[in-house]
Amino acid sequence: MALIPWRPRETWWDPFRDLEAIQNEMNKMFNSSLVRWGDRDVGLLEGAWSPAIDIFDSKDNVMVKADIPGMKKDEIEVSVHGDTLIIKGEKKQEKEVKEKDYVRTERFYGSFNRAMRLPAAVDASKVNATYKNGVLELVLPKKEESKSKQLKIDIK
Amino acid sequence: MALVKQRQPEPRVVQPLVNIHETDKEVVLEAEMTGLTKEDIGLELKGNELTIKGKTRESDETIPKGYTVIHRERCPLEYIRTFTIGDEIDRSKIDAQYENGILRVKLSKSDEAQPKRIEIKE
Repeated sequence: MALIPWRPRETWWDPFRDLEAIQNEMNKMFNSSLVRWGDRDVGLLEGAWSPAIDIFDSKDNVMVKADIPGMKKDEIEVSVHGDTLIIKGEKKQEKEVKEKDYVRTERFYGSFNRAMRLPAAVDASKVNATYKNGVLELVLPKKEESKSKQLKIDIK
Repeated sequence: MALVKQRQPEPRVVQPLVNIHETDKEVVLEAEMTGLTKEDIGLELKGNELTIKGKTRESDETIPKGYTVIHRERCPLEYIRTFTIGDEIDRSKIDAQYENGILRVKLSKSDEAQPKRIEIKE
């Protein structure tokens, strides 16, 4: 009996492979159009939500951006505890609109609290915060001592 | 089959979340469209179809100058959604405002559509 040369599995003709590929593509289509990015999905508690954040690092500063649409400046609370940053607030539904007048409510309301570890200790007294177009932008200057963490080691 | 990219360079197309409330005089639509500027938003009325759209700017999706990424959840988005509006809406009185990431579209109802009280004679 002649030996059948061995080929890796991928090159075998598999009638279901193309179907699987189509299925995967379909799943991807649904994922990309119906599911929002990041942790935007509703949690176990109805109405629970948490803003999506970006954290950037530079030599002197840490920058944090958070998507918090539809709030007022003074409803957002930002605090720094060592190298932990906490953003919290409560998103309230407009009071002047009567409950019965709503035809559709999709937006999330309620309180949120998000704590994140920063890449370095920052000077809480020098934090620059702006809120524009629903995006909270924080520039947090690093503390002098955390800047000089990099120690130079002499090789003997 | 194409490789799954970790981060999509193209903005993700999403439908903005909306709240709609209606009174005898008007219909107010509030759409969450975070991180845009007034200029990025398009509002179009074609027949009975009102379309709102907007795209986050290029500068928002790239990394700020001099910074490196530590963590990322926000991504470039393209918002688009179409609504069908009723005949009672006065097409010439559509008012839109963008503030704190919320697009607020006020659609006034025409005078003919206002509820009228009919006197009952004895």
